[in-house]
Amino acid sequence: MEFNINKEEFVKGLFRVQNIVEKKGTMPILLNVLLDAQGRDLSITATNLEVGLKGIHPAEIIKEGRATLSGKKLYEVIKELPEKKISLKLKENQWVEIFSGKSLFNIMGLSADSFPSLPVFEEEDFIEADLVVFKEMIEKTLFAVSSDETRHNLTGVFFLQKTEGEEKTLKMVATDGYRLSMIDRPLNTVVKGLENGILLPKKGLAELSKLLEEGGEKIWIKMKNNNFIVKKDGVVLIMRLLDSEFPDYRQVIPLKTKRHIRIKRSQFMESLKRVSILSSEKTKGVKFHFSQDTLELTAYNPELGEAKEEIEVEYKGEDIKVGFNARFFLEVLNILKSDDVFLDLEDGISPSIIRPDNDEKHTCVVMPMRI
Amino acid sequence: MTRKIIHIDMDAFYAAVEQRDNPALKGLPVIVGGDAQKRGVVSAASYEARVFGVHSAMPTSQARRLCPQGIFLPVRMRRYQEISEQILAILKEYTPLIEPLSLDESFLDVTGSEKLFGPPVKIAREIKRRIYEATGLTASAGIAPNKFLAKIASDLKKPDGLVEIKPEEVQDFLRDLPISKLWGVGKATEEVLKGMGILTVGQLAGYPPQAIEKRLGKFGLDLIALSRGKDDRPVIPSSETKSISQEETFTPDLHDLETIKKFLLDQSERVGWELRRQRLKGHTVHLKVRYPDFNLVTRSATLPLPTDQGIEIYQTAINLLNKTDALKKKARLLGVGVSNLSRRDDLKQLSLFDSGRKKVERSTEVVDRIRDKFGPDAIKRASLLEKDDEEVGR
Repeated sequence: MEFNINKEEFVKGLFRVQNIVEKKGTMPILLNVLLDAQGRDLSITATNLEVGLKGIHPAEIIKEGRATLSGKKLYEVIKELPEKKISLKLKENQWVEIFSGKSLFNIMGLSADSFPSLPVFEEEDFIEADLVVFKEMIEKTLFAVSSDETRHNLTGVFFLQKTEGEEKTLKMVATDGYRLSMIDRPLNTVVKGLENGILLPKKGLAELSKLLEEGGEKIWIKMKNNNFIVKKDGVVLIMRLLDSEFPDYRQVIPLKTKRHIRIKRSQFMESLKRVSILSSEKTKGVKFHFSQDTLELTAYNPELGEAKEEIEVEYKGEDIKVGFNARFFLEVLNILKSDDVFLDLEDGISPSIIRPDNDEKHTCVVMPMRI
Repeated sequence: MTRKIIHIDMDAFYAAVEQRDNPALKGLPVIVGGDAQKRGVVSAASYEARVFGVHSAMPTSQARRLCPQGIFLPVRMRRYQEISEQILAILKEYTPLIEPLSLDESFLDVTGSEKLFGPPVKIAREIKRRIYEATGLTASAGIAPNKFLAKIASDLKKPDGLVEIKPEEVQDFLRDLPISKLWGVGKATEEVLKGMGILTVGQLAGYPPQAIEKRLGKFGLDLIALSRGKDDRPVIPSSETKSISQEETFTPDLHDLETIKKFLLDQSERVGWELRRQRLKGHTVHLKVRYPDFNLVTRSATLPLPTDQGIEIYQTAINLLNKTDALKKKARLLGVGVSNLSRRDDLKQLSLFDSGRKKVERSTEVVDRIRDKFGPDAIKRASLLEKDDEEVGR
């Protein structure tokens, strides 16, 4: 293997895989990236056996071939090289020579033959989807995913395609057992394998989200066996689905509630942020006291003191006091981009709904704290 | 500097409260405890009942045989708590350094109180008098330079006793004391020491420490320190409760999973009950295992949410058990505890899906009400019923 490549292109490719290559682990090969020079392209592949990414980059191939190198070290080296043009050459015993301007590095690699291959898939049957919409759906659900590994079935985003008459929609739902976020967006082509829903791992979606941040307009998606595949110009990301059953989210989303409140989002966020400073570190509990057109937020911490703040809201109904984890609320308010939000409350112990005023297809549910 | 520690121990507390609340019971053998039909155990016996050989932790059924004419009463925990708080209020007037061990006994460090209230003997006498005036109950007091000796002293002249062990009397006092009086020496350790020909505290004090360490590990060195009258443990005021735990030493050592599980369940339930009683919740669960070679290991895990539920503590403890060699090496001691405590007054996060958990909490509330009324052994899990009553007693 021997090739010349533009530094910017190489850095971009290596940056993408930094969170996929393992930092340490029992399989040294997973610390490495696979470099494969063929025709007019260099492909860069990384995998942790759950999420895999392969990017194609234009390069001047002098001699075709493959090599693997530490993903982290290679990125650190390439990033710091002074010249635009970078040359790599595989030498004996898996040593790779990196050469740029007056810099010369020799780095020891591992045989490309021991690099685990990504799941194989055919190029057919990819469904086109809107990149911006997909990115929004991930952004508005991923925050609610559980990080508790003992609740395996909550560590991913539930993804399915629903058909209602002529209408087809993609749906993403995530919950950590205390709050939930669900978003629907139209997609009128059938994606095979999504009828009953699949569970996309948090880590894979975080990588996908990063990839979508690079920009563009379209992506292509496909299900194959236990893998979800996303293609974007010159990159393919493959994630293995979580093998777990997502709980019945429909039963915890109330259809009708007694109380409806409209609140200015930014004001609500700022007040809640301030008051929550004095809430207990562990539980982040804040009391919400709703009365006619008023919401009073209070927090109390036996070791610190207390905080109280009143904001104007639109509410006509009886007084009610409900406790909430301020963090759960702030995270929701942060991703809702509307001016106002609706809060639908039943009582102090049932699920409550928060919705933006400009999007009926996005619903967040937060479970209260018992006062 | 020599410390001045007072140990106040109420005489036959539960039984005495019953006699005080119902004067008709005065002078009669009163036995407070669980139901004999339900394998309950005696929580307290009045001095009149002790004449018949009845003592606490004895199965109620056995007590009935020994003392058929006894007045058997259920445990009224709420009432005892009320009176215990009255007593604590009196103690607090003499020093802030009070460590209650249970409802009926407390340590006081009065080292700094002498200038205000006079010598410890005077303080102890005054406390006893004031407790009697306020509650009509008698207490025994022990005064010594450390906790271990103060506790032994209070036990010497029960009921209504007052014994002081002065620093210069410590050696004489300990010499002929049976080793079972040492703190931490249960049946199992007693056997080991007897096997070495050690019957008295004086003999233990004179024994080469290395030999003891070889048999009992580090714990052995602690015992030798005690046997020489050395005990530096401070009196820790209760407001600083950092953890709540239960532990038990077994003879013979435990090795089969089912039995270990049973003991862990029992201990977890007791810890859960104590947490709820003190309105606390624990975030971190600890499991303590001492192997037959006296090596001690502890394992801990932090839960996603703080708990006061015995069953949750138990499940975590079982997971932790897998991280020890208890099944391979056998267990000489098992202990379950929780730390990282928070006040239950904190708001409590409800869960979207766990309707199961809510059910558990509701049934626990009912169980607690029964325990408050009839005592800790009045109700327990069916799986714990097969256990020998002797072992269930506290």
